[in-house]
Amino acid sequence: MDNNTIISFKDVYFAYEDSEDGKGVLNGVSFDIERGSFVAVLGHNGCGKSTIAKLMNMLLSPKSGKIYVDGMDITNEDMTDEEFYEFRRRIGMVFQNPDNQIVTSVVEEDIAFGPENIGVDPDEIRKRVDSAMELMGLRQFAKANPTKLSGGQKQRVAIAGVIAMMPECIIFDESTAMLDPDGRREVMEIINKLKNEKKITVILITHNMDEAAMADRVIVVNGGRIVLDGTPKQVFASVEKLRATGLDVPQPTELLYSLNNSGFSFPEGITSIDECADEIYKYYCDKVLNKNGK
Amino acid sequence: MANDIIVFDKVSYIYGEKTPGEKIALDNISINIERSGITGIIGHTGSGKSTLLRLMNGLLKPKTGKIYLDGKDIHDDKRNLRDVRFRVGLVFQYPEYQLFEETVYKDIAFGPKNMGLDEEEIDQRVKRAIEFVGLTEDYMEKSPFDLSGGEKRRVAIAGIIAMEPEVLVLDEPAAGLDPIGREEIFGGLERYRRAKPEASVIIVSHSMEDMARYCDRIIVMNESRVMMSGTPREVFGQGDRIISSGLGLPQITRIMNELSKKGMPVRTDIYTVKEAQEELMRILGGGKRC
Repeated sequence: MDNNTIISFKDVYFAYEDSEDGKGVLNGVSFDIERGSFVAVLGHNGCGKSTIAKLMNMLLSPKSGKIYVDGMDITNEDMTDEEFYEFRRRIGMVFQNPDNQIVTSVVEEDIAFGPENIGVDPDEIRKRVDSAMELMGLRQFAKANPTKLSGGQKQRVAIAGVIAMMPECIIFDESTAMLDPDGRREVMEIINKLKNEKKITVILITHNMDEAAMADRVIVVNGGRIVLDGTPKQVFASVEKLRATGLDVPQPTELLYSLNNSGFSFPEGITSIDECADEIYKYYCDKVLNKNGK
Repeated sequence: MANDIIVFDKVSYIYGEKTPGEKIALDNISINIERSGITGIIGHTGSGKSTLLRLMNGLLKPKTGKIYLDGKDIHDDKRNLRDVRFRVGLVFQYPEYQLFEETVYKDIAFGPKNMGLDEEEIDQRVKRAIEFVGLTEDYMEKSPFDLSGGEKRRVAIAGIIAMEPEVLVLDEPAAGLDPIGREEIFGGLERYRRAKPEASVIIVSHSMEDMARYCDRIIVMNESRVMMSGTPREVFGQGDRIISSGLGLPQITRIMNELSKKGMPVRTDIYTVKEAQEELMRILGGGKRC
């Protein structure tokens, strides 16, 4: 495995013991996540995407197959405690419900909770907490009670707590699902910042198409298998396949797709409003205005 | 008006009055909600939407102004409030957290039981309600805690539907669900409304796409007041006003606005993909590849 890969799944199988209807199982999943990239794992509820997230952090362990983090085999049962803690530190996780991730009644203490637990030196903790608050725009809330914050702000506190552990990679397990549009925007801006400024690998588990469209790479999971894997453009070009897996496509993609079905030939897989409008306008100028001799 | 099921007449509501945390949640608002059909309420977090819902079934009492249900002031006689709560069924956000019974059947039956209905009537209502939300009778004896998130949500909604309220009010019923889950929730509301055509459904949502797709009328709340109300076309056709209040438009409406800004002669009051497609075919001249 080259040094450019941060997480690697090799033919991973998993099943919950009490799973009746095959929800959350994985049937042989393999992929490599490139260091510093932003990857969205997309799928409907019960497709296995959250199982993937929990396996990455060894909250679950696979039935068979291998998982490597930073070259370390985390499925190896002989792993020492030190190795295990070190790997856990490298992979941070942010969950869905902002209210379930707050452990103290003061924002900065909440952010310090993780590093305190692993015995980081107090001066160093102070530095890490300050820089995490700076990055998350939480300075003004340092002494605030986290329960009084908005959903988006609470998620920022949770993310700051993860940042203070100085991870290589952060997994967001449906971390925007319970937020309002402003909160979602906040979290998505933070994700871009983590990737661009901190070079942290971001893995976003989601069923929101518009968020997935912002990633470098989209992996679509269905029935415990990877069914599509590529750039957002490549993945969203497969409108039929996405629909067959119970997913939708963003409205710009849907519009161009339905126009193409009526005989047009717009590029496939466009997800942004601006790009969609540009393509339609270009066609309008070339084919309608020019033909009328303007 | 005879055709209005709920009327707010100059209603104000203040949280924590005369405390340092005083906050005006609703500022002298008047609205009429027509009988039957789906009315959507949109607005920022903190714009007063949830307060509005809680006032509708008498959970909160307005500071000033009157609230009428089917022509009657709901606070006229305290003894009527219990009845108002049966007639206006309120489904809170993430209602699945409120399930508590041992079986799905008992959970759905809880409301009708409280209404004092007889066993047979309760049984029929529970069966109808579970059908509305698209679950089968196999679920009846399961523990609600063994269900998936989306299924739990539907059981919770069925619990309110079983009370067969004249007004069914839902706060973000599809929040956090994937496209299949959303479809199941909205499909259930459609079935309810077809079976009980005189009933009214009121939905609060942040998803402009869902609101455009399912609502007959939309009320836009902004800074504790009603900013706009009308059909989706009337509301989304005023894109600039919506955006200036910091709310979003459906993506498809934004595409049409973008094209119009570039100088294409397109309508900007479009809010579904199908309509947009038809409008563009009209202007681009079908799909001639030339």
